[in-house]
Amino acid sequence: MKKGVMRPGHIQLRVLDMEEAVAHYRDLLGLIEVDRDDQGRVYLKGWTEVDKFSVVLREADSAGMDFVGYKCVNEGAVEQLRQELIEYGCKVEDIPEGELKGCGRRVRFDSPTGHLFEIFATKEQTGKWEVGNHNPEAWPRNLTGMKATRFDHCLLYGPNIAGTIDLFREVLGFDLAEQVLDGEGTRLAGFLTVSMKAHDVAFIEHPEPGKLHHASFFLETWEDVLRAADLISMTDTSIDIGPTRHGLTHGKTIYFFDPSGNRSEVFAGGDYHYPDHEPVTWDADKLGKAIFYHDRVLNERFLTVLT
Amino acid sequence: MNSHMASQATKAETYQISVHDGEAQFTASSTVNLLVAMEQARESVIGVGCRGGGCGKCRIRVLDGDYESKRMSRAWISEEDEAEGIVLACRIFARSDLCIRPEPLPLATGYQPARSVSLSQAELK
Repeated sequence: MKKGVMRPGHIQLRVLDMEEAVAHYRDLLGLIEVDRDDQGRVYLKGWTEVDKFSVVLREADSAGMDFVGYKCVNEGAVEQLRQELIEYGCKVEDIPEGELKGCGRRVRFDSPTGHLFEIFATKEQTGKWEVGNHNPEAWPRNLTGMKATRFDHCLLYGPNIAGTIDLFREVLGFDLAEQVLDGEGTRLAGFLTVSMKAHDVAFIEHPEPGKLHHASFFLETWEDVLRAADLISMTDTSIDIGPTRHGLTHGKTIYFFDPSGNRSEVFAGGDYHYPDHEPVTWDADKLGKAIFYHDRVLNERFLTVLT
Repeated sequence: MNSHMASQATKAETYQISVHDGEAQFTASSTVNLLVAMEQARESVIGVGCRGGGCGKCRIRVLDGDYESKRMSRAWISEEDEAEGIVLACRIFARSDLCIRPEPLPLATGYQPARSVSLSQAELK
């Protein structure tokens, strides 16, 4: 049941070297740098995103994800969900307006998997970059790199994904779109959506809390994914795997790493989800095909290389 | 320590990298990080992960020799580790012949990332 959460709004990533990170996210992925703040954080967005920013980079002494935030339909929904999160047992922290430049108040909460999440409703809307929403042209002509269109989702690893998935379904109103079950029916992975997308966030069971597997950005076509692969080679960027297709969600994908070791994905296509859809289930013994549909073999890196 | 040394136009030197038990030996250019040098030599004695200092898979101990390093995630390399010569191979550049030993950690469950002030109140479970 929808509870007023609309979509992924922003992700704050820790990077070891800001200059190198900006070269990755702005020049290679092709995100638009929109602002910086007095903490030295850099704000970026995909060109199709109407809100001011969706990616925030923070230089730190470790890589990984600080938090991911979801945008709600209005402040009333945020307030209602804040109460429900407290009743559910989450530790809740109120982040004042302006802590992220151009963003209203946020409600941050913890989770059984050790990740920090946020909900918010207000963010400066600067419109689709260079095209706006009044007689808009098809695309801006001055894009760079992979021309990533939007921050799409992230895959997070941690212990007790059952708990975090329950939190997202029961409190935040996400649907379970896809899952991986082992022989005993234990859920090893869950892909959740709050929209028609195959996933707005995904979780895989893992003993270390609070881990980031990847932040993913949307491209329009398979040809764009191949072109992204060319750019990864041209720039000698650390490659993980691909181009290939996932069994889960059926997206066409390539994985690579930012200069601090955070995994990036760009992908195209994929399945859709309506609230009346039963979850798609993959058996754990088909995990190779579920993750890498063409190779049909899981590489060790997919399960263990995290930040 | 110089985080930008890799981009400096330094003359490439070639060094011999040996694993302490004689399991493997490869050459490394001073301009290429030790992990990528190992991959280019088609060796596999060190685990390969992100190649960016973040995931910890290529954790090694340098038993002998000189190197320069870039910033490494504190989730995997503490200050004490670093002082003892425990590093991530993807973040060091040989400055002499080196003798190394892989020293991977299975998990880094004890580490808590340093957070900005607004993040400090939210204690992770």
